[in-house]
Amino acid sequence: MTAPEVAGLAPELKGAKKGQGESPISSAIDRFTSFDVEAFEVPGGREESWRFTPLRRLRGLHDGTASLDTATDVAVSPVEGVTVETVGRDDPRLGEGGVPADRVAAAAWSAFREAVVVTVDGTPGPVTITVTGPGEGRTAAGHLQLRTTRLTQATVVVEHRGSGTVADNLEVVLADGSRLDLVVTDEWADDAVHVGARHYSVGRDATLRSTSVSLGGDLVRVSETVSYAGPGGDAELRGLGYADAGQHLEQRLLVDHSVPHCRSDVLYKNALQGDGAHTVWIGDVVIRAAAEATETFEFNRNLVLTERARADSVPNLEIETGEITGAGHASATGRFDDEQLFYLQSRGIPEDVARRLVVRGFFGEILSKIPLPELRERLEAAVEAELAVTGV
Amino acid sequence: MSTLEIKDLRVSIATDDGAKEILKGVDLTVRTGETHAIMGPNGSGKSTLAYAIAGHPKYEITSGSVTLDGQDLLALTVDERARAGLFLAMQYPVEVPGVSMSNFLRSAATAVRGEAPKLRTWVKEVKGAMSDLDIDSDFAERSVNEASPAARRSATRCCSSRCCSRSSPSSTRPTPASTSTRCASCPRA
Repeated sequence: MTAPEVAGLAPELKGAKKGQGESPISSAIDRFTSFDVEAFEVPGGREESWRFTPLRRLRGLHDGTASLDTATDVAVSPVEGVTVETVGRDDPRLGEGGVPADRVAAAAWSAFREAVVVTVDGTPGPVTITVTGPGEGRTAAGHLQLRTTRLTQATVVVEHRGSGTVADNLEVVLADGSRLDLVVTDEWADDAVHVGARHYSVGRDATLRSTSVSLGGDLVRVSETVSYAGPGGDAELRGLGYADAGQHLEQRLLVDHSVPHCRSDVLYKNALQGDGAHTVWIGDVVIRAAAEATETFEFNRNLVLTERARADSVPNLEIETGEITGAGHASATGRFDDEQLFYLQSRGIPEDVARRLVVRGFFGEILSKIPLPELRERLEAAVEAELAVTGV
Repeated sequence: MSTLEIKDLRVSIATDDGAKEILKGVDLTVRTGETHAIMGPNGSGKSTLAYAIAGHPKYEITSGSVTLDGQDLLALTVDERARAGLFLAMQYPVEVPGVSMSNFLRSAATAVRGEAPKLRTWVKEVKGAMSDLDIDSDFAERSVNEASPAARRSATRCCSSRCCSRSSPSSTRPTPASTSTRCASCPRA
């Protein structure tokens, strides 16, 4: 029997798993999930979900040699209408957001002793949650759940900072009719390795507006999964990544349309500069048979600013029903446009200012969606600082 | 009075079959107040001349000289040439996505004038210039050269007006675009 063709899989990977002549599973429709780390095989690097990740730089997160013996520090700014609880593993709410889909997420799930549950109710002011790494040379697991109550409207910022190696899960559970504007930043120190899974459960008629910003760290791999708990859900996911020399930034998304009348819109933009800068964007969208009247679009753009940087981009769309409103995906990776540079310079603008204008323009449609002006300005400044690093 | 002087200009571009010489010794002197029209069939090098003077990286100048009031333009970077007073009106200006016209104009004015214009007077100045040129005020918030050809020409007109070419003594354009003769004949608006 010959193995079936699997879309998106490099031919040389066929039969890679255990040498059995079977294609590794790559369809997102039947993606394997489990809370148990042992249910996942140790990745060897050729699996579809790991083939872009430099496993040697994961410091053993993937193969069990890392001891996830400490916890990340989670601090929540006190805001009226926001409840912060530290709960044990047996709290029944844990897992409502989603189930780990890779070995590192499952390892984090198996390792954490206490989880932080943040419940947002009503129309509170902006909430800032700061997650801090365990420090250089140390390894931590983390678990954070963010919940809204019915009809809540809130803005929440989750900032990742500090040093060390971190594997964690972030669950975001949106109750029916609620709206969450969420900004998650990875602003790690240069040494940090972060493998994070984010599980979004979007309730009936709920609205998620999320922006993910990846700037710091040696290796940051973030897997985001959107699922819908009822019809009328609306999710927009925005992302911004800026990879410097030697930095690996990976964004893996799955938007799982399993109920009718839901909407999703994904736009991720990365800039790369310096030797060995690497970004990976995987955009899976699944429209299951029941998900009629789905409307979905996903788009990835990468701006390669210097030689010897690499951007991988893999958009995937799997559709099991034709009764949809619309579905599309697009991906474009380009170098810095010399014509744009010439145009701006020909109006008297010096080259360094012109480059900054173009990069700022490139990220403008992501940054302009960030709802808090102070945060927006801080992140704009952080992007400018990245530009200054190599004087691009 | 300014003088743009082009002497024996030879320009090549790189092709798959090696360098190809486009301009084979151009001589031209343009003084303030003069309007020169360069005519010729497609491919005769009209645009090449304009782009080469402006400093487009695609064109290689193999010999000759271009001076503006005795200053060697070819030794200057693209932006230095622009600040010296050269203005190239492009037939097909590129779009710069995400960079608003107002941001772009202010950056250009800052560079040309050597200091950032004061915000209060600047807004007034841009509004005045746009209204003088019959440009819809919405354009200020659009991306540079976004969308319609008319909008692109507006960007060129606005840019070549007093906002950011205060001292433009010389304006070159590859091809007369239909509606905007104003900035070609009168770069100082």
